[in-house]
Amino acid sequence: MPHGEAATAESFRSARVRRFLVAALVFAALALSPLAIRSVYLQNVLVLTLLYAAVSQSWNILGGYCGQISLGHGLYFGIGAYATSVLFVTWGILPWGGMIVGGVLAVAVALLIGYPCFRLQGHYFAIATLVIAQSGLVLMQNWDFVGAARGIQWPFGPDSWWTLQFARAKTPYIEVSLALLVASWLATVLIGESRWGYWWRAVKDDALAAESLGVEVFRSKMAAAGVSAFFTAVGGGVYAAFLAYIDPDAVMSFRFSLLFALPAVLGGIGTPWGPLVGAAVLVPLGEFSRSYLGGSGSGLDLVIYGALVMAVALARPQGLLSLVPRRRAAP
Amino acid sequence: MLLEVGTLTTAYQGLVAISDISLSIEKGEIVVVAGANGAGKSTLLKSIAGLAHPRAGTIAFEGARIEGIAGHRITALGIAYVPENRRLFPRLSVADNLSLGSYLFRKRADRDAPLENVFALFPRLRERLRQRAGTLSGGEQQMLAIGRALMTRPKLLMLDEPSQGIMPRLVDEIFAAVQAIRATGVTVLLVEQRLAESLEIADRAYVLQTGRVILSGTAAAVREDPNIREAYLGI
Repeated sequence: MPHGEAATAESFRSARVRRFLVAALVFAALALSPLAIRSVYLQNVLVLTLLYAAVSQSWNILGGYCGQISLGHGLYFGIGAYATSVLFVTWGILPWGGMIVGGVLAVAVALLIGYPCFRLQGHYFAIATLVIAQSGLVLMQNWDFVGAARGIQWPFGPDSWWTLQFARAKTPYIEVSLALLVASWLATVLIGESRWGYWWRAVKDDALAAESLGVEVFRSKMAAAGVSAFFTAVGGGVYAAFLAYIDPDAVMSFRFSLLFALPAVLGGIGTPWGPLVGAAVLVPLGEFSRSYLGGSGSGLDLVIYGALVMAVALARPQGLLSLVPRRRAAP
Repeated sequence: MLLEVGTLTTAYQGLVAISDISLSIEKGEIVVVAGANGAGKSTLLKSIAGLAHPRAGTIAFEGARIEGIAGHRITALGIAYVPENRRLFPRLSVADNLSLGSYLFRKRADRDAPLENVFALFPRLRERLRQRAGTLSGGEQQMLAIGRALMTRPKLLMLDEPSQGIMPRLVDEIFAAVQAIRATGVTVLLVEQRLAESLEIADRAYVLQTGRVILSGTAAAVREDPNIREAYLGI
């Protein structure tokens, strides 16, 4: 925060207004984009791009801002997808409620994982998330109540916003994914400006120095993990409604954990626009390569992602966004 | 007694870094802890700050036992620690680095209150507020590290080698600042290898060797000790 000096406070305020203005324009353009993009195939790509951007933004809260690298966000995504599907299919609870329940469940799981890991330094957390997410996948593949490996089919019904079911239209999913992106973007930016945001950056840079200044390092990590897991699980719920059929591999395989981290890393880790920029490059690339080069499951898209991330890591370690010239001393 | 350390022993993975160290500091003093590399000076400060965990012994601050308490809570009690090599947040601005010291306080007014004090000590920081901390010179970085610690409004300020890697002219400025800080009522525990300079501003000194106190007393007495004169002061 700026101190004293009216001039710096003034420039800070105008930079903030500019940031929100740019955001409003970008999001408005995305909201109206279905008017221009009529192809169902391209609209499908847009849904996935926005959804990955939103979830990667959630990942970014923990990984980019707080510096705790998770390789298991697929687990929270799966929890959201399953909570939403089970509640809807079994008890008729609308997906909107299911997403929130999934979010809360994911927060609980994230805190359970964080509790032992966040007291340790080093790579324990990244490894633990990876292992626990894989265990969760195996659990879901064998748990009969949630359909085990057969998965859960959502019932066919009329198009409705209540049940978030649309047989052909993609636009509603574009708008819902966008709404989630806006929510996670706002959470990132608003918390980023608050005391917690500064604590997260301090913990990421130097946990010992942070602690010596009175920063509650452990609680900072737990808070970041909770916020991050919540939005990720809501994203899982949206995805389940979009597919209307889920099975463990379709919503929580390791591929997802990777694909939530990559856009943020590619676009610019720890920045509010990095995940969207990264997703806008990665998701269409993956979809097009799959449709033109064929072979869903051949993993060619992952090879391309890998090459791209390596190229960016070598040439622009700060991500694609660092190519955009910045105004001096942006906050 | 502001701080009282009793037969403190701290070990890292079985390796004893300090053993049976006892030390006390009165309110308003400047106390120097000197010793060669590896003597355990930093471990002593980290143990007091709650960033290293003592195996045995006691630490009492204002009469209450604080050993084993988490580091962030010790800061809130009024002990600030400026680590060796400053450890700023290089990508954050000078203003943000300072703010991080003051988020302890809920009220905005409490947060901003120490700021004028910091600017009075280090006017340069005011000029560099929007600059990234990583772009400051070594001396300015040390000023910022001390200023950041002062934002927590400490009763006891612990400095670990503040003169390290700083040009000589600025070292004098840092030592002068330490005296000015004491004049504002803050007690100072200073770890230094530059024994001669630090004895000039200190009231008392402790000399450590391989984790133990080998000598303690008033600054004047330590300065006159024949072993110290030979080993540290080179006279």
